[in-house]
Amino acid sequence: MQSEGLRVCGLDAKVVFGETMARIAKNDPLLTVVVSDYGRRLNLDAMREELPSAFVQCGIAEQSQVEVASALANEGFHVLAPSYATFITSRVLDQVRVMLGMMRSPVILVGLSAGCEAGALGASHMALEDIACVRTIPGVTVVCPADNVELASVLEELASAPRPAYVRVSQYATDMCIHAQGVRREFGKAEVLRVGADAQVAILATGPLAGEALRAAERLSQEGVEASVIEFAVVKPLDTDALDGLAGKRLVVTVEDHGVQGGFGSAVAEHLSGVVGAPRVLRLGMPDEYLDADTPQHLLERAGLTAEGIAELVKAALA
Amino acid sequence: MQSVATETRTNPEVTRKSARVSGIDLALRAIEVRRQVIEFARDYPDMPFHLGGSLSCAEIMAVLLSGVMHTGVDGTPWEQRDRLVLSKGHTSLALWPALAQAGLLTQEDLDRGMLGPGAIIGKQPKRCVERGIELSGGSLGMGLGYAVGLALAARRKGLASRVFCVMGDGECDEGSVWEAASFAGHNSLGSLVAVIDANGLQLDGPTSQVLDSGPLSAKFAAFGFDVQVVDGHDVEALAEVLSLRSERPLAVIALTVKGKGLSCAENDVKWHDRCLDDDGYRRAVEELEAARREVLANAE
Repeated sequence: MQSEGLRVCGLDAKVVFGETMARIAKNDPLLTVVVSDYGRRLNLDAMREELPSAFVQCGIAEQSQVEVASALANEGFHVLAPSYATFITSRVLDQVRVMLGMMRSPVILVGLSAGCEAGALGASHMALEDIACVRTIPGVTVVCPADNVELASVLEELASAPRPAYVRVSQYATDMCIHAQGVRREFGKAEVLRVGADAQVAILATGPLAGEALRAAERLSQEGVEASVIEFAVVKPLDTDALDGLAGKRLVVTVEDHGVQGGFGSAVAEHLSGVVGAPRVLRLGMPDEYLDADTPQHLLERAGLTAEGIAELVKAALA
Repeated sequence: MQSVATETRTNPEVTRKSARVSGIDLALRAIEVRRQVIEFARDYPDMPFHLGGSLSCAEIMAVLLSGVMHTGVDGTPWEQRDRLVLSKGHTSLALWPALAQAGLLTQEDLDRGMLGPGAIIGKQPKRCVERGIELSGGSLGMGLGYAVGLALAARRKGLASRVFCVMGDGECDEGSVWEAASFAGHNSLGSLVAVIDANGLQLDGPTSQVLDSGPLSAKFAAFGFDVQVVDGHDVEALAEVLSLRSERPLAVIALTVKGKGLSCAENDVKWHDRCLDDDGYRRAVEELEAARREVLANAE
């Protein structure tokens, strides 16, 4: 189990997407993957061999992609629509509003190379507003897996019970394989990754930076600051029970590879603003600006989204 | 797969539904659609209805729903029904009476009014498949892509269902229309029919002046469609071209008059979304009654 988990975590997430589709196609003749000229990178040959009609190519036309995917989903097919994260969300936001929001078409949008992953391609390809865009649309589930094992688990869960959803996929060189043993929590529930003894600090993370959050907690512990770490793979609907359990903390820290405006941290702050005696919230994310092209690692470092950066920002907030 | 599925229908050679509804009846139904459009306008005097475009597509809606489509409530198994996507949802005032004529909407549905949580009908369609309303409307340019997806679903399921998408000529300004048209042509979606209510006017003025991007017939042909240009107020001609089938998608350019049937509104851009006053209502009723009598007189 663990060796298989480590193998999967070591792959490119796009390869894992294709492996997962091939696995689903063996048992689900309704599986459909609607692409917009982003199929070759998704390792879909095995799925196409298993189920040729599952593959639908729209060309570089994301509006058509969401419309076609929605109609297929409403006719009963189990439909995933992958593309670059920013193009399958903000570029087609009105299609997402009408088709997934108003019409509740059970399409699973899959945003690839989200966050800073495509940083070398510049601001046009970074997806730092995608969570903010999609989570304002009523009825759309938003999921940010922390690693490839969780990605595969989330895709299988959603394909077996389709609903309007957005799966945000980002991956960095320093990622940890958090779910090497498999995903054990119930879908939608937050998962405690680290219990700090009498911790006054709770670090909440979504997506692959959950690994940096864990490393940051280790650093803090060495310096005498105990922090628990909780992963929220599902940003919407948010596991508010898990948040309510944080009432006695001194500081809640949110970590995400998304802009600090409107993302996971904002969702946490929105909920806690209604909780009497709620702790302070320190939101860590990408700055509210369009950034010049750079490596993902440099972009994350400058935003303070490394283990060291997170630990320093937490200490400064506690000082 | 398509041809096999076609045989599941009783008479695969005839895509036109039946001879049950005659040309005279279709013409009368179109006038009744107009009459109901006017009634909606009177019932909701403050609503900025799109009367011009609703009146221009009355024959299109009546012919599709009463003369051409297998509606699923006419003996066709529901799954095998033809689908209607009203992409220009703004003109839903013509959809409601045509759906009612086809037996897909009841008087009770209509009586629930157009506003509030209990309404079935409204200024814009809200998806309700069991009543034949496939698309939630309001945001232009999304219908053809959705219709393409429905046609693809029918192909994959091996159904003979056809998919009709009614659009405006002004709506064809939207780039998403052409993304979908490319897909339909490239994939030879022979079950897809794009019906363009070409009334030549849009909100800001004549379509030729707002964004004249060349003849729609040549554009759809270039995208791989068979194209038929037809008088959009001639029910017999509409029924004939809408029943054509080939291996390629079909675009029917229906040349229409915006505001048709209401002389003060015809070809007047102000009637894109103008409200109807009492005097206008009275004149409309008289003119539509005269049109009805003319159809009946010609029938004799």
